[in-house]
Amino acid sequence: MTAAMLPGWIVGVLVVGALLVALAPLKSRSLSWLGAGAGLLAGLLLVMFGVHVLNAGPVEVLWSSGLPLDDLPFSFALRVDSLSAIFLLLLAVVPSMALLFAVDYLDGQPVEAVRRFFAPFLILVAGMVTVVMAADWVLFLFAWEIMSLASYLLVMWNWRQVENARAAWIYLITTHIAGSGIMLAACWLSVAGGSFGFAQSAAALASTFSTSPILANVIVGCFAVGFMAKAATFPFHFWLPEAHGAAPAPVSAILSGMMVKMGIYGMVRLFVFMLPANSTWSMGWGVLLATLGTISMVLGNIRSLGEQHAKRVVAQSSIGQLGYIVLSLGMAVALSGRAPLLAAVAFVGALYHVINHAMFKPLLFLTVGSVEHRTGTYDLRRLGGLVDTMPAVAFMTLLGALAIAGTPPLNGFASKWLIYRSAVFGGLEIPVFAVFGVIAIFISTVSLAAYLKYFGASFLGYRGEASRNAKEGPEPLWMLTAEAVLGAACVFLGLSPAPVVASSLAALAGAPNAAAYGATLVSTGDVMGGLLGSSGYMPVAVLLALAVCALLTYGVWQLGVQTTRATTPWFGGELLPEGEVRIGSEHLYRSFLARYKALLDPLWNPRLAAPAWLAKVLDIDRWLIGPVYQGYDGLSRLVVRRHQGRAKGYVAWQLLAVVLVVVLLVGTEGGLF
Amino acid sequence: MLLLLLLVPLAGGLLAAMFKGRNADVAATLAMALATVLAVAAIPRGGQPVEGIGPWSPLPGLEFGLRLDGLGSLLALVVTVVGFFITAYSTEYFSSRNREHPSPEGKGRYYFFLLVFVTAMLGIAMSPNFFQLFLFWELTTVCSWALISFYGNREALRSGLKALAMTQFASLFMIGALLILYVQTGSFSFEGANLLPAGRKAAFVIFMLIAAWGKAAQAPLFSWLPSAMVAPTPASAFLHAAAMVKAGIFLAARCLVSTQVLEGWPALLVTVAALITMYVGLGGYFFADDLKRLLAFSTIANLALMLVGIGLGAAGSTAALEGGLLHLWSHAFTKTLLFLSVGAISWATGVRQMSKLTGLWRSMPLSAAAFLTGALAISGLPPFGVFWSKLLILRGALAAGGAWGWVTVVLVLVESALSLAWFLYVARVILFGQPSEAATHGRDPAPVMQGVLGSLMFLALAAPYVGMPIIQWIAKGVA
Repeated sequence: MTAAMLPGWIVGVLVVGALLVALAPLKSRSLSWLGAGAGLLAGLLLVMFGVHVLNAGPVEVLWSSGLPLDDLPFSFALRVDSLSAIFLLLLAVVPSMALLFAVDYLDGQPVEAVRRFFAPFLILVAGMVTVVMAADWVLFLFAWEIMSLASYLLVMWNWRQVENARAAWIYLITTHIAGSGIMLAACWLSVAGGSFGFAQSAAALASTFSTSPILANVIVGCFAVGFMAKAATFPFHFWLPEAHGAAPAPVSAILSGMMVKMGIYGMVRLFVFMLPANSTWSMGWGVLLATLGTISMVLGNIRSLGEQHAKRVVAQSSIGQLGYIVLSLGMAVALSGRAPLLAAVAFVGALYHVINHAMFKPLLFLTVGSVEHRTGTYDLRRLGGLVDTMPAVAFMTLLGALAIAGTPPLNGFASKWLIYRSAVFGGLEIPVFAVFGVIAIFISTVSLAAYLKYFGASFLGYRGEASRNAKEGPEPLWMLTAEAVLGAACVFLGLSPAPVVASSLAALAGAPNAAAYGATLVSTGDVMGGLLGSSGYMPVAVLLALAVCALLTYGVWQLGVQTTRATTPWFGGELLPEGEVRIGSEHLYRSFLARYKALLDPLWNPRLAAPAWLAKVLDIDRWLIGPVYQGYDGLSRLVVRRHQGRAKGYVAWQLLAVVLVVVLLVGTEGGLF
Repeated sequence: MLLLLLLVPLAGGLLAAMFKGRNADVAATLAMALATVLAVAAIPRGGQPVEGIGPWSPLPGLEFGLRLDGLGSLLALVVTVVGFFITAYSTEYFSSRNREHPSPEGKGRYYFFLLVFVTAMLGIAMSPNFFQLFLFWELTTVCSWALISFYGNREALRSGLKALAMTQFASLFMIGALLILYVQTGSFSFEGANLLPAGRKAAFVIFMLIAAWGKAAQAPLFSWLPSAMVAPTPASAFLHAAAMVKAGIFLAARCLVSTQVLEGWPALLVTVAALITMYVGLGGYFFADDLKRLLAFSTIANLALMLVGIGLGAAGSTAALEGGLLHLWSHAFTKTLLFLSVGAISWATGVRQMSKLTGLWRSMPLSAAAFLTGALAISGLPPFGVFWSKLLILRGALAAGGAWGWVTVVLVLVESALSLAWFLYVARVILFGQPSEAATHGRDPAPVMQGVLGSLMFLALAAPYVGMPIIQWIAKGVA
């Protein structure tokens, strides 16, 4: 099997798997395994293919070679370069783990619910895989749409609650209204460039920038709106907390973990691969992206601090983390050509954070799912003290929380380190970036606070009402396995940043403007280390330092601490009922949040309503047809009155007609008319 | 063979009128099946139109004959395939189990008018000149009146009269155009229209367009279509969504494809009027509580989109013409799917109002899936057919160039987005959530109706790939 056949096989496995899950007459558990198996097999093939592309270079495939599409300006062409390969590797791991989790999560559900989950899920993965591999806008739009529709069906899995249907509706509308911008821009570029292929469109955009830059920027804007809406960047972020809150946990994992990254993929292709680097336009767009990214970052993380619903905490935090990615991408675009080395660092930071986010965000959503599976609720106010009954999940959650907050030596720190450095040093070129960098560092703390709140409220402290009524028994194996794999990935990606940085640089090298982005000038070691004047970040050293500190702490504890006993809390000499002295999640950070109250309310809530006067205008019977018909009716009544059956009346009509005819004849003969 | 294609539905209609109950069903369905087979067999191959009967000329200047070219074949296929499904659906729709209209009376009368209507549409498709087209055009008006007034109550009779009056008013303009043509050239042939001098040609085109606008429910002659929804739902699906209103579009396309009269400022007028009508149709969505009324306004907006394609095609863009014709093709199947799913809903629950229906998915999953598929399909989402037609029209608009192209594109995209938003909102309200009182009576309809819904769901997806070769051939002939 050659590498060129792999894309077809991957999509084929996913689609056939989806069809089998939808139609096969099996029991729930077997169907779940069928679906998960298809996802795992596709994941394996994706890993093989991705690694091949990273080693051997871009692969081009034409899926439409047998079809009669010669006259049409599009073809189903694929081109997989290093950037696509990175996303394909992510698509190998994340969906497979979510599917594995779902095998146990959906245990006990009826067959049609299982079918309704796995079939759209596999189609969603197939759509995402095709989006990342497409080299033609029609194929891209097709796959984009299939991705959106499949995710709509998945968000609606719990359709019996009408608020889930509403959340799914908002999501589908937003992605489509924004996506119509992509369609418009792609159509225009296809007309200017002759066909819908990526290469021709890029050339058409480049030539438009030289002939009429305003039009070119409008085109870029249309694309950007579409991609930003998918990546939940401010101001198109409002759909994400609703949709990811309404979906079941494994679906939220893949939506936050991978699907929003498709928007980022689009933005990278647009801004890094298609926009001319080192121009006023790249500076302008870059600063705009960085600003919107920073606003998203602030908004998302502060809102997640105020949420009491576990899934919404994680979902709002997704907006925040995507803000980091967009900030870094914007910095890379703005600094391209001006400070190519910094641009490379910023780009690598963005891509590294994409990879990291794709690991720890699904991990966090899956742990939320584990807790909900056990206790039946997402409400942080009713949870607590679960560390005794679910120690493994608690550990995974802590791992994920520390990773997302950017604690060394985990992966979040490695990418945030790059982002901070490029922001602060980029501030020497474009001063506002330094401000953004400081905000980014501060917001990291907010993010840590939010996740510590989530971790503490779910697992530590006093056992809440839902925890006491929770199901007993060991934690399901496959749910733990999926979380463990993702957790291990977080640790691994943190401890060995070199392969990630190397592949990110390879992805950047594939861009036409790679020189402006300094891709060929920097090496992996430069990015992580010596480039900006320090000896660099060595995660193993941090790990050793932490181990030494942990040993010291343990030693001190063993020597110094007395035996402990558990007791009921008492306050001011009284034994109060436990519920009264607990500090719940709703009590944390209140003074901080009070200061940011303005940010917590939704900024705009799109509504769809038509004005009442429109109904009157559209009622054409009332103001046009009706009166015309009345007029005609009146006229006919008038005529009828002259035909009442009296002979004298008819003779008068005949006389009038004769006179008229004579006048006409005489007139035409005599040249009057 | 073309004569057979014309006469089979007529014979079927006459037979069905004479029979009662099941026999009428069988006669009508068999006739439509045979007509479908004949229409498929008669598809012109090798790029040559099929000559049926040669021209028979009883009077000078007057010619009758049958000729099936690409455009006619497209309409013939739409009419027969969709008609077959509608007829199969009607066999079970008219029964005492229908909660909305429990009386199965008058089936023979219904089938008669339905099949005579099919004959009339096939006649329009196969006409080799304007006069014959006009004769069959008038026949469709009569059938439409009969079907709208089918239930015989006061509202039905008034709506039938309104439709008759408005489309007949438009047809008067067609008579005017025919008179101009005959007086100037002595014949009614398509090519003869090219010989008209400039002023007469403009008048001819405008009069023909007014006739087309009246039949296709474009502004300002559109209010008969929402009122016509008192007809039985399969008839509404057929006449007022899939076929009769398409006759107006067909007339405009015929003027573009077979003559050169549609060029210059009339082409621009077609596009502008169509864009205005598209928004009029969209505006009507928000005030429609009756689901069929919503679908009627959606039909108005989609017909306008077809005319945008044809208008841009007249301005020189082949892609836009292909888009307009592809939209005619895909919309037929998609809108029929929507109407028939609403029919299934009213059959089972007895109500059609959005305000009384929620949570239908639980009790009638197939019909709910059909409605949702139709709603997604009509909004132009890939992989459904309407996506391709919108893409082609947008591309054509941009290629036609200049500011007008951009304005058209933006207007079409905004309308698509708002239409999608509303349809999804309606789907969400009626399909999900807790079942309302009316919805608890719901159950999936008879197997034949379910089979029709399933087939249409498949066709909404697959139809463009079948129709595209014919459409490309038609557009090449124009270019």
